[in-house]
Amino acid sequence: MVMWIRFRWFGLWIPLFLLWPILLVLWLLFLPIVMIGMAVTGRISRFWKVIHLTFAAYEMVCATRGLRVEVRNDRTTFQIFLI
Amino acid sequence: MTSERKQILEMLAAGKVSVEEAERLLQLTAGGPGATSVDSSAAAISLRVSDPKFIRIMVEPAENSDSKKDQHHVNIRIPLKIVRAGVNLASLLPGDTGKMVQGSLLEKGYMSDISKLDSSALDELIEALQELSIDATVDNHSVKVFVE
Repeated sequence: MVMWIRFRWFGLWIPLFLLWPILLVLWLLFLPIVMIGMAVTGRISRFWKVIHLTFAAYEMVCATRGLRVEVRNDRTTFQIFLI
Repeated sequence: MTSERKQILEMLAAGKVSVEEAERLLQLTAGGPGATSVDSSAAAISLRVSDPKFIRIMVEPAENSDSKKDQHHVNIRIPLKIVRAGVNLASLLPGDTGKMVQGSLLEKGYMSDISKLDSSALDELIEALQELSIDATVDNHSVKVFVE
């Protein structure tokens, strides 16, 4: 997925697909810490809920593909495209 | 009673639109708050695309508006997948967070309880969206909401 942002004369392509591996690595790094925190606070039963929540959040981000917001008037232009 | 008003009331009776949506549509057809002028052909509700992918909101200056200064062009395309993914995500939110989301929705005037929105209700909601198409004139701008 790629994001295009334009505000007035400034436009920028953001390759979001390059962020997913970084986020995956960060998630895997933080997962043991989250598990330890849950075990300490006695909420380990919620572990699967955290896993499901992560996948649902990823699904939500993927669902935004195709989003298009374009606002123009005589003074300014604002665009966000998710392709 | 005009045909548009009758159609809106029929849709409400059939459960295709909520009370709030029906009220908003009736306001549009009656030229209520938020709508400066809507002619009978402008507020149209009709059957649309069978397998919609996006909700489209378009605002364009009306053809008869001459001042170019306050002309706004808005083109928003929202994937319908967001609705389903959003409900899935909301159903997994912890209790307190879910209550906060519910409270914020109530503040904005959305009376429905998202935690009670199951897959069948969601299918009905998306099905109802397929049939909705709004075409109105507000503040010298033509506003169109439809699915595609």
